[in-house]
Amino acid sequence: MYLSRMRLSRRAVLKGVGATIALPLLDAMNPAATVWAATPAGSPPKRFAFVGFPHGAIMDRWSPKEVGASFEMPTILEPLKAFRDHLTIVSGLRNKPGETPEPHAYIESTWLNCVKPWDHGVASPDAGVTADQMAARHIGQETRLPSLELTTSPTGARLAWRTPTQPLPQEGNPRAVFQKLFGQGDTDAERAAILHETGSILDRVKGQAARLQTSLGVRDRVVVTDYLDSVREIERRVQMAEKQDMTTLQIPDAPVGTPNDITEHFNLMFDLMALAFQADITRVITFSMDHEASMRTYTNLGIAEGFHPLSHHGNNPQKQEKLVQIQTFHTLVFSKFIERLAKAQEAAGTVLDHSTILYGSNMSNSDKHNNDPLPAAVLGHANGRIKGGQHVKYPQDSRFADLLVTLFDRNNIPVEKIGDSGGILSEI
Amino acid sequence: MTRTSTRPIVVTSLAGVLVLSLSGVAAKSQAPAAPRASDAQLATVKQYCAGCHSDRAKAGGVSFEGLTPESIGQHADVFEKAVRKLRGRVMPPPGARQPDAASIDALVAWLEESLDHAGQPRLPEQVVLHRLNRKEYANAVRDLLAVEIDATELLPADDIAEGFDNIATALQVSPSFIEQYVIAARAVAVKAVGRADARPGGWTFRAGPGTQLTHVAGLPLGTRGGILAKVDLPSDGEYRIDVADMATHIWGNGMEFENPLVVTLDNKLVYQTVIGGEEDMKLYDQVQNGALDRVNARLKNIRFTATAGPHKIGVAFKRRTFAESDDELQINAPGGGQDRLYRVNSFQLQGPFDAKGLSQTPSRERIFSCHPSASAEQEACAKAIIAALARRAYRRPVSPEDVNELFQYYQDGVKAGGPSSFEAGVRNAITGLLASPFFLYRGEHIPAGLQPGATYAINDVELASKLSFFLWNTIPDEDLLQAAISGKLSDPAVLERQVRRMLADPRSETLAANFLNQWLDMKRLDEIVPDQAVFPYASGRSDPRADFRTELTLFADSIFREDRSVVDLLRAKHTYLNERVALQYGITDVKGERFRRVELQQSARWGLLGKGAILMAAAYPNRTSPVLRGAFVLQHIQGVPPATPPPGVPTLDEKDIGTTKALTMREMMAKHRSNPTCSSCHAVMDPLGLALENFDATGRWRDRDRYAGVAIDSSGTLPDGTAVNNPDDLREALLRRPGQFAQTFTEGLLTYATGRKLEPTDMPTVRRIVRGSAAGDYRFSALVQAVVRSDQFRMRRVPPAGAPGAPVIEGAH
Repeated sequence: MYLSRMRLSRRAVLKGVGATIALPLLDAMNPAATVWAATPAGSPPKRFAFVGFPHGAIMDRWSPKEVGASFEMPTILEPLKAFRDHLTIVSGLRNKPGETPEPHAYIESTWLNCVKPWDHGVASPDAGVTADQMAARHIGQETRLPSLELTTSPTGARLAWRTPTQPLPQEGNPRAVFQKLFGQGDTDAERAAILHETGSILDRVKGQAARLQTSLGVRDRVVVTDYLDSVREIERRVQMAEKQDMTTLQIPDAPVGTPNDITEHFNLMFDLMALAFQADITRVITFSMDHEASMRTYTNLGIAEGFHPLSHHGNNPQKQEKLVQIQTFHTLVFSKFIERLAKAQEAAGTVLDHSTILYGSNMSNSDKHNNDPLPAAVLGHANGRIKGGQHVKYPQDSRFADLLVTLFDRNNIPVEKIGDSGGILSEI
Repeated sequence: MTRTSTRPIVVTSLAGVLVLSLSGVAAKSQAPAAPRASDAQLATVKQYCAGCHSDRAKAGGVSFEGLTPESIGQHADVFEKAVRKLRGRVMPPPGARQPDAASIDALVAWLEESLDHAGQPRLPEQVVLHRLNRKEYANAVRDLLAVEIDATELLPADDIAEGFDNIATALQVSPSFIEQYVIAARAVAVKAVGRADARPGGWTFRAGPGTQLTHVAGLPLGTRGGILAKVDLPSDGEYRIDVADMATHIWGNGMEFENPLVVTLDNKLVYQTVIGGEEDMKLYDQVQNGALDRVNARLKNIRFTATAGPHKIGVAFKRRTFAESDDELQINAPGGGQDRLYRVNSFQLQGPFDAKGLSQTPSRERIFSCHPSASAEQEACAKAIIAALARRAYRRPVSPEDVNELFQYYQDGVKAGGPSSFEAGVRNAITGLLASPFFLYRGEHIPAGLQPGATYAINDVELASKLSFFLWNTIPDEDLLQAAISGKLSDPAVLERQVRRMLADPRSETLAANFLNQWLDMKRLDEIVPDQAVFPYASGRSDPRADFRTELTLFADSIFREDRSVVDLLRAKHTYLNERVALQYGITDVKGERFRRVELQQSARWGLLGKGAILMAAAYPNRTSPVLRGAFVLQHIQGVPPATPPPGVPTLDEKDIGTTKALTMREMMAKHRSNPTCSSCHAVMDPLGLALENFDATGRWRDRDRYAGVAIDSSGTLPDGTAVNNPDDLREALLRRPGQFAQTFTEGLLTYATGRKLEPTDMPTVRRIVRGSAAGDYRFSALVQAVVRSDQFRMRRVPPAGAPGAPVIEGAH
């Protein structure tokens, strides 16, 4: 009974609820081979990532003027030009439920569910659960972590809602993220040693448990039996993990902590996200690049004004130019993530080929605090179901939730409605 | 027998309800002679109870028609419930004819006597294999290895049953738990022994709640705000601190003043700098974009050397005189002064860079009882260390087999070891020790040769464990363990002396911090986050909950430590205040964050019902709830948990009320009084809660309801006609029957001590304990001693030989 996937998923769910507990490298290396055997022949694992940034975008530098396949790469998305054929720019969508009288408070938490915060649980028992968590319900059970929630500004509001009342905490410290993914041990050698040691601990512990059982009552023996069952389950996984050939994946040493430099912080987080996909530790990631109303200053770009005051540009061209610089910088660090996924080969393509990555914001014009039209770009081909290489533009009042449902559809995830969605965007 | 549960108390006949008919039950051979003078009691039952609890009406699924004295003992669970409701005066329900107080008391006495003499088996079968919960784990590690750990980071949360986290049946394991348990063992061993070759790691510390403008306890006087971090450094070497950016944007607030920042290591100054002031303002003006980086650079890469082991690191600002500021002299927060100043929000500690070895730390001193120089001595020393630690960790004498098992771990560690292989071996042995089920589980073994159903006393060594986890929430100390191993602990005089010693020891503080807080369900306090819109001065940075918790623990601990009557919990006139709590209580002459004992002048504040922690936990984030408070009194003081409400009761939604005038709580609960289905419970609960209505949802006294604009009306009547118009009336009404509270307290104590749910068959013991301590006014130590002496604590019953489906595993698997 402990060898079934169901048991694994419950345990995985237990871990998924934001506990930053270091774990040994057990199922991380249960990847490709075991997992693909469980899925229909020839279908590689699907990946979802939702990367959000605050304060929208200067829309005429985000949306190309031309529609279709031959569009001129807009300034803000310029760093993604090498991945043009994986890129789908989606214009004209509106997140009406995300429009609230308190944008600073609710922008992040309404992006991926398209439900007003006070309507959680109202229209349906799932109203308010975000798209990433819906995806995780379907594809998160086969990996050790059903989903991963990251940020570089831990004080911000949360993007992911697991239930209508439970938002998931976001981890910002790269060391903590690393330990969550790869467990204790700063180097490869340490990790292997720890794995081996864990095996011997479990073996000896079983002997001790057997001795504990003598002269206990029957009901107590049941307790020890449960204990032994749990021990044996972990032992099995340790044995499997030790047998895996881990030379194909280069796992770096653990980062020491949070870098002071923002570029380095972004690079580290995106590296970890790429590793998490490659090692198949999780298939669903949300990443909040910064929080709404952030006061961060991008001194690396020579900008000394706080991000939030700057975002209230009042149509001042110099301020708008600075915002474009920041937004392009965000795309630049994000493109490193895409680059890594594009280089990661796995059977039948690259990780990027099998991924669906939404890059965008729940705000459009930061000066007006509006949600329409939202900047949204999709990277990846979703195993060939997303065309890529095009700019699609939808008429006024097209729903952002439709894009989310479309992404589900392209990944064969049977979620037909989220928020105020009404249909699928077939052009994508 | 089965009976339906959670049914409204007054209900008309329902189809399919199992009728409990008690007439004509044949007397079993073990029934004793019927108790005396039963005719008057039977008449009371017939007159006041059998109307609803008849064969025809079957209220609550129970019928008393044709009741005989013999049947009481045979249906202990029904009658224990009946007794409980009678004692709590919730039965007969309000509105029904009420017997006078003397009749109820006589009926209760008669029922209890019958139950006490019933001759039922007293010890239910139970699971005795008891897993350490994570608090116990952390305490055990602290006492064993002298190292502090944060168990909430290392181990998953424990399931709660009966309100406590130490109930054996709820403490199960799963593969996930085992995995984390092994990781925890390793992490603790590394922390305790240290590693001379530690690689750099990083820790982030954030500022706690509360204003960053006042002095933080533990940091040097003369500082304001900041963070005090207690950290265990893994080895000697160089460490580095990076404080979070403060100059976050051009022309920010507060930059016009100089803010001197200090960094201290164990209260010694390690670094200081200044943020802001005229020089920095000039920098902003003239250098502009590069200025921020230059200012923030002063907060980064702060280096210092430190030894391994526990240290206190402080990062804070020096306090400035208010005279230099143009701001308000006093902001509306305790101790508040200047506004618009910088805060230390977080800092990151990294290191060791260049680990240089391991100095002595408290845990290393504890572990290494010998320091072998020659390799020939190492093995013997390792065995000595292992034996000493295992004896305390396993809480029993260790066998050669125990030592050899752990020695194998030592040998593995030596093989992998490197230069300090001896220490690596010891570290590995400690990992094995902490991962062992002998450490994790407390078992009570059945002596050979006993028949199923026979009772036996647990042995001394097992008793020592049980005692120390009860009174100290940790492993036995050497004194207790020695008394047990030498076989003396079961001697009643020795046992009593040990209990007295343990109560006097500071470690018994866990009875207040752990037992009492759980017994009163104070974890609810974590869930009630005060609404900032309604309580701007008691929320966010000024949230009083943590301080209220401290007050409650100190208050209870003082009652226990002074060995006062447990009833003093309801009536003691003192408490422990710091400035924050005092302000909430309307007391203005207590200053500073230190808690000190204060005699309360306002009598409404005396005892538990005047304590902020309880008043807040039994309320909502934005308003009071007389229902929650009434339920609290019923459950935790009267010992009568209220029945669950019927399904489909709409919540009080102020929006739906539809009047232009805001209503008081009393008015909003009008339906409780007008609807007879509701009033059967609410007529009991509401007056209890309304009596406390002058305390708002943050525990502050108020004379007026500020939304309704009228004076608070806290008047009410208990079902027996007693007027209860304010907290003093309520307290006095409760104190009229102090034995009731003592019994509720004893039930909680016995549950916590035995780690299992109490059954109806345990109630005679509870009553005996309460009766026995009545003459001494229910002194705390008397109750504790009686619990320790009880059969429930010391005896077990041999379970049946082989239940179907339960595998019997012999020897190694």
